[in-house]
Amino acid sequence: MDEATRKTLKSLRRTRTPAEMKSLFKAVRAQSDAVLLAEIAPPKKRPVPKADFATKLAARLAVIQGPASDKADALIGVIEETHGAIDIAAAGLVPVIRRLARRFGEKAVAAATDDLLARLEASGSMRERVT
Amino acid sequence: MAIAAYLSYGAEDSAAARDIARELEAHGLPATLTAVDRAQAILDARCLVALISPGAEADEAAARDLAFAIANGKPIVPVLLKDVSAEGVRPVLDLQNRLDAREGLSNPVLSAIVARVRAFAEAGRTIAMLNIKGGVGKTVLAANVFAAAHLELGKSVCFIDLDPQHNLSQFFLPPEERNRVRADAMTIYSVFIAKGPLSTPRENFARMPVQLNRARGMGKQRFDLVVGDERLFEFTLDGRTERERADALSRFHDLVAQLRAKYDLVVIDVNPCATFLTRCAVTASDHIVAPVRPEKYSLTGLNMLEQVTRQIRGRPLKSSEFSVLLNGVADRPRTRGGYDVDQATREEIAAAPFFGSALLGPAIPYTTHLRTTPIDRYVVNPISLTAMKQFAQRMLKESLASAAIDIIKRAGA
Ligand SMILES: Nc1ncnc2c1ncn2[C@@H]1O[C@H](COP(=O)(O)OP(=O)(O)OP(=O)(O)O)[C@@H](O)[C@H]1O
Ligand SMILES: [Mg+2]
Repeated sequence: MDEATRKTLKSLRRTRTPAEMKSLFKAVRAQSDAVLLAEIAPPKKRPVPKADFATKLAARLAVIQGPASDKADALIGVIEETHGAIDIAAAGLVPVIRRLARRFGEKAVAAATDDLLARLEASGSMRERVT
Repeated sequence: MAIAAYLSYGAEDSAAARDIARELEAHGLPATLTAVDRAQAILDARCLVALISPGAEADEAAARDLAFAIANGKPIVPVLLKDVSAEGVRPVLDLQNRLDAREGLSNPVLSAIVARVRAFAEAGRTIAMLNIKGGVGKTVLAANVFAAAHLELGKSVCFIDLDPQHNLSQFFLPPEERNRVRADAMTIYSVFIAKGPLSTPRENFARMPVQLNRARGMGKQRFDLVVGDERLFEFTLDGRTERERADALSRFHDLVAQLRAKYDLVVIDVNPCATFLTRCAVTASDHIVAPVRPEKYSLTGLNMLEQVTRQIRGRPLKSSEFSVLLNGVADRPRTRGGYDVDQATREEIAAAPFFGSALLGPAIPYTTHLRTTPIDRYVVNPISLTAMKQFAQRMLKESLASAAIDIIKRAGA
C-alpha cells in the first residue's frame, strides 16, 4: 500500500466508525471503478437555457440602473400609451416580457423596448462630465 | 387643533379683528387676538392674518409682528381694510395676493379669509437639511431619509434644491434632463430672479416640481423635486442688490407656501456655510435637520449652526426646532485604545445643554450604499437610486425609516 492511500484511509478513520469503514470496504470490493466514480461524480451543470425572445430583450434593458420591477413597470407604461391600461403587475422582467408578448405579440413588445431605449437616450445617462 | 392664526392689527381696527377671529373660531380655527408674549404667540400659530390700514402701518407693534413672522417663516394672509400709500406698504408683503376688504368684511371676504387660514393650518411642514460644515451628508440623507418617509410612511414629499452645487438634483436626474428644466426656466434660479425671461411667474410655482417617483399608478402621493441650478451662486456672492434679494426672499417664501399646500413635507437641501441662501431656508422652515459625522470638527459646525439660525431668526431658539442625526457611524464599535469614536461623539452631543435633546436615537451607518459613485447608466425611475429601493440592506433601511419617523414627529408633521 502506498503512502497516499494509507493517508486517505487514516483521514477516513478520524470521522467514521469502524462499522462504517467496513461497509465502505465491502462496497469498494463489490463494484467496478466506473460505477464507483459515477456514484460520486459532481452533479452535472444545468444546461444554460437558450436565449429566447424574453431573455434577449431583458438583456437589452441592462443599461438601466435599478431593480427589474422598475424596468418592467416602465416597459408596461410604454405599451399602455397605445393599448390602454394593462393589469400586469410589475414583477420580474423576463416573466413580464413573456406575458406581454403572449398578449400583444413579440413585435409590439420589441417596438416598445426600442421606444423606451430611445427615450432614455434622449434624457441622457447619469454620467457627469467636467468641462 | 393648535392655534390656526395670529391676528396682527392696529388699535383702530380691533372691531374688524374681533369679527374675523369669531368667524375663524366658528369654523374650528382657533385664533389669537391679543398676547403678552407676541413673538411666542406668532410662533405658536400656523399663520399670521395681517389687517392692513394706515392705522396699522403707523402701529409699531404691528410692524414688529410682520417682521418677526417673515423672519420665522410664518405665512401671512394680508387683508386690505383701507388704502395705504404705495411706498408705505411693506414691500415684503405680497399685496397682489391680498384679500380686499375695503368695502367692509362681507361674507365672501370672510369665507376667503377662512379658506386661506384653513389651507395654512392644514399645510405640510418644511424641513431644512442644514449644517455649516460641508460634506456631512445633508444631500445624501435628504434623498434617502425622505425616500423612506415616502415609501414606508406614505408621505408626499417635495424637495427644493437650494444649493448652487445642486448635488441633490444630480443625485436624482441626468444632466440632460436638468438642462431641459433649466432651458424652460423652471429651476430654483427662476424663482430667485424676479424679472425678465429667466424669471418664472408666481402662478407657475406649483408646476415647478419634477416627478421623482415615476412608478405607474402612483396616485396623489408624490415624490418630487424643484431642480437646483448653479447660477444660484450669484445670490451667495455680493453681486445682487438689496432689492433683488428682497424680491428673491419673498418669491422663495411664496414657492414654499404653495408647495406646503400640496405636500406633507417640503424638504430644503441647503448649501454649507452661512449665506443669503441659508437665510432663505431658515426663514422658510419649521424644523432643521443637521447631519453630523462622528469626528472632531463636527461639533464646531453644530455650534455655529445654532448661532447662525439664532441671528437669522432674531430670537433664542428651542432645541425642539432641531434634529441632530449622527451619520456615518461604524456598524461595530471603532475603539482605539479603549475609546469608541462614535460613542464619544454621541455622548458629547447628548450631554450638551442645547443640542442634547435634539439628538435623534437612530444613527445612519457608514456604508458603501450611501456613497455616491459615478455611474454611466440610464434611470427610468429616479427614486430607485435611493438605498430604500436599490438594496436589500435591512439594517440601513431600518435606520433610515426610524430616522424618518422621529424627524416627522419632531417637525409636527
Ligand atoms: N453614511 C454614509 N456612508 C457612506 N458614504 C456617505 C455617508 N454619508 C455621506 N456619504 C458620502 O459622503 C459624501 C458627502 O455627502 P453629501 O454630499 O450628502 O454631504 P453634504 O453635507 O450634502 O455636502 P455639501 O456640504 O457639499 O452640500 C458623498 O459622497 C456621500 O455619498
Ligand atoms: Mg449637499
